[in-house]
Amino acid sequence: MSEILLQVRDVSKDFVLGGLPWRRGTLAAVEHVNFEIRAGRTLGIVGESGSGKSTLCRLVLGLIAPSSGEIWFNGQLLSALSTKEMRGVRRQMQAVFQNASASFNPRQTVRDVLLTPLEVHDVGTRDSRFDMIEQSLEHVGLDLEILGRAPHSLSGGQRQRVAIARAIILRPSLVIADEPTSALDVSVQAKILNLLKQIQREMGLAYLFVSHNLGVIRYVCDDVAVMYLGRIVETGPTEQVFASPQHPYTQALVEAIPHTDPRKPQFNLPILGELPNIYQKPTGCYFHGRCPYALSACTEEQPSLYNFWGHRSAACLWHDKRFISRAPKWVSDFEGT
Amino acid sequence: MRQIAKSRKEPLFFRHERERYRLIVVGSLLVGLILAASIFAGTSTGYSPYEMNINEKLKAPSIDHLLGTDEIGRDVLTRAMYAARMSVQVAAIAVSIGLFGGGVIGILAAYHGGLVDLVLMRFMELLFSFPAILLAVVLMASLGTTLINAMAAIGIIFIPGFSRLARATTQGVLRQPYIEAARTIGMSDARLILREVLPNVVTPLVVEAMAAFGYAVLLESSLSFLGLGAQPPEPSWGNMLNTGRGFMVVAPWMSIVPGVAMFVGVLGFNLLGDGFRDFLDPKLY
Amino acid sequence: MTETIHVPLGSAVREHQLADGVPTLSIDSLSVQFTNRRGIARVIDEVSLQVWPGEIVGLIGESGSGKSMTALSVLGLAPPTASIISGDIKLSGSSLRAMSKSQIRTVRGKHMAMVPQEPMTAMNPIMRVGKQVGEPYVVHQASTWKHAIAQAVLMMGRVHLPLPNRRVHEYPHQFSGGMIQRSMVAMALSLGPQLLIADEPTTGLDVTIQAQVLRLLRDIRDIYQTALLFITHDLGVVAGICDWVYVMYAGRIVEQGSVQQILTAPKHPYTQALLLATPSIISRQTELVSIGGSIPSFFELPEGCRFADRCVRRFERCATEPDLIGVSASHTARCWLSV
Repeated sequence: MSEILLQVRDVSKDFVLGGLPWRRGTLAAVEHVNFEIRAGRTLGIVGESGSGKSTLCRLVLGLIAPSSGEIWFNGQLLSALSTKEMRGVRRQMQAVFQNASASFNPRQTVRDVLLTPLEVHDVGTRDSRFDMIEQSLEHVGLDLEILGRAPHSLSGGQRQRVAIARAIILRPSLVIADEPTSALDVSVQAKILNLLKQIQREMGLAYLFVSHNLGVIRYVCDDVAVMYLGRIVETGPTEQVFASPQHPYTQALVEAIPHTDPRKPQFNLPILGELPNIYQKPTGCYFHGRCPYALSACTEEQPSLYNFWGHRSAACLWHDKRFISRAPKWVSDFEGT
Repeated sequence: MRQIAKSRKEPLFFRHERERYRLIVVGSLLVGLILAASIFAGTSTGYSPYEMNINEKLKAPSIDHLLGTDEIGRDVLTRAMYAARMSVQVAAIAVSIGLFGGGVIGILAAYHGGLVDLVLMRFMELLFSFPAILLAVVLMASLGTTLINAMAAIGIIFIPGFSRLARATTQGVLRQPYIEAARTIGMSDARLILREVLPNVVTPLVVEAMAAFGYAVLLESSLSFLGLGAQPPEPSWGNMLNTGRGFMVVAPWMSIVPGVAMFVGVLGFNLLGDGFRDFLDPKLY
Repeated sequence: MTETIHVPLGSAVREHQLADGVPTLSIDSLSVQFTNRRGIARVIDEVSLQVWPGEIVGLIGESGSGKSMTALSVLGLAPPTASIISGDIKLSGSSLRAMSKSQIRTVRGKHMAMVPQEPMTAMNPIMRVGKQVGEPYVVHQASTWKHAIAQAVLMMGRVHLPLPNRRVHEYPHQFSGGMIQRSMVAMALSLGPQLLIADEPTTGLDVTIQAQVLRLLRDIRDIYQTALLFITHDLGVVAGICDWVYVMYAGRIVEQGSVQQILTAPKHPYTQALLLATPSIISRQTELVSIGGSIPSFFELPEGCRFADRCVRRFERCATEPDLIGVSASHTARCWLSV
């Protein structure tokens, strides 16, 4: 079992919405989130809009501070670090964003983009920097001639490769990928996903991989955490979670994802209504208004994550001892499994 | 020893940009004319701008005096060229004051936000609400009518405009994902402002500065027309126009020459500014 | 010289094809090109396509395939720099090319309508939703605004928007993406068009919302027997609601057939590659296969088969471009391997 790289403990983030002092509201973007990532492992975060997954990325990257809870990286508490120490942490933790062209300074060339991390962290000499850039490009399958070009003149796939090259050039131990392939065509996406997997193997990287696409998560990630309205509602090894989801929201997601088998009917699971207003979250379990299996208790009680079988957990009252005896079929008791 | 390949910026000239290229060309020609006049002011004509020669007064343009003489026999062409030099100097310094002062204030206000932003911008608004000439007149009346004060006054007039532009542009830049990406890499605030924010904020400011140049020339001329700014016998397009007013019938060239010179200067700078606007901004296709 | 079996398009009987009927939409050998200093870009090259009443037809392609331009051409909304150089577009038998601009304007909205991409920018942000959804009534039926808004409430109810009488007075920014798309569907359906064109209507929507919108489109088809042309890059979506599929690559149709055939046994290497590159949660794929190379620029189209230089199964014959070759009565592919 490799060591723990990242630990997120009971982290919450509230945003205060601007306006006149008596009209200000609070948005609880992330609520009491717990997870950990071990070296060399990949964790996927799945969620739709309003789930808080982008805020979570920013929290882990230290771009914003949590309202409560702690984030530990390599045994260091992020909020306790000085700016200089934080920079050291940043060397180990890099990111690839969704909108590749917007993540590059429009006035820079690829060479500038790749040099910047090396200069910021004062790594290497002039010669060794060139070697590192060359290696990085080789890793992502790009030619040296791309150095002189401006990122916005490249294709979507090439841009994303440059973004990945920038992320790995410092040889981090954790890469946070926030929807890195969502804006790409299917065939280009396949290339980039394969590249990400390959790099992960070759460099022993850990990933925090955020996406709304379950198929992509399944392809890349060992484990998955499903988020809904700021809370984690289910976690576990990806394969198992998608094969037998233990939370109605995960089930709905799995059902709703289009698959390419025309023989199996699709889009038939009733999902009632829209996402609730994130500024006025429901009482009790956030999903109860759209849940086909809701109990009356679900309107009052917010379920905590019920742990079963070591690594799987789900935040659904059906897993509570009080109700499990009457549970619908999909609820596994995992006793004999 | 291996060198990292020097970045080749891709050529940005496509056919549809040649129209804008034309603006730069024409603008440059006009501005070049004015600059040439200011550089060669002392050497080309052989006359001094102050040399009086009553016998030659109010003479129409001739071979001796290409643009005529004024009411005390001074060569108009020479005076106009000296005036050009002075206008360029005053405008350059005034615009620089406005650009740097306004730029710094705007960027700081946008970067820090909150109270800093509030205070700085309210102060800018106060300054902005004064009509330009009035402000200049008040400043010069209280500080004295030297040329230096004219430069300072005009510079101060420009600061609020530049600060607003700098602030808005900086705010736009700060919202961009690449700023977040830069922070993710671990960049310090100082480097962030210098390397990531500033280069992307500079372009609109520079373009605005070019347009402001023209306005500065106008302002200086207005001030000297009013008797503030350049004091006689120093030639300035403004005071030449002022003096020329009285001799419109007898010696119209005394007014026409500085008037046309101002027109050429202001137009040239505006065209240059417009032409550069698209040239400098990176194209995002 | 080997015999190639050419199945004339349209002779294959499709599930929704009526014996002596006419397809709602018939694109016959349409070619559209742009000309600029770089040369000629034929973005649609002899494309033929049909949608029968009550049929949901999928047009699948990645970016740069020409699929969106096809939709725009049908609606007469192609940019002025694009010119139709050959072929015809017929709506229920009447040629659209033969119509004047004002005639097409009447047809558009009344007989054919579109649900566009990008729900967040599809609506005018300063106009109330009810007014926008009701606009077709005012424009095409000279109705009063009062009546139009009442109709809008009705239509919005039909697309399962909750509390339509309240929503009608709201502005687009108060709606979520899924709600806007449903309103766009309501607007498109308001005059009962025969043909609905949906251009990537669910791209960017949450997965659960996408499922609802797709179900809605399917229900609309079931109730009103509208012909629906669904343009997308997502094979899964096609599998979920389409009856018939056209696969487009570099401006040409490279494969077409029933959704069963195309998705279970595709014959064109591009379609096969697309399937293999689509990540899925039900199939036990261990590896996503990507396609080498990139889509050719329309200004530099290769001789012969356009997919050949990226195709793992190419051989000498690919130097000549194949016609659409019949694989079976309901399946054709533009590939010499199908012979």
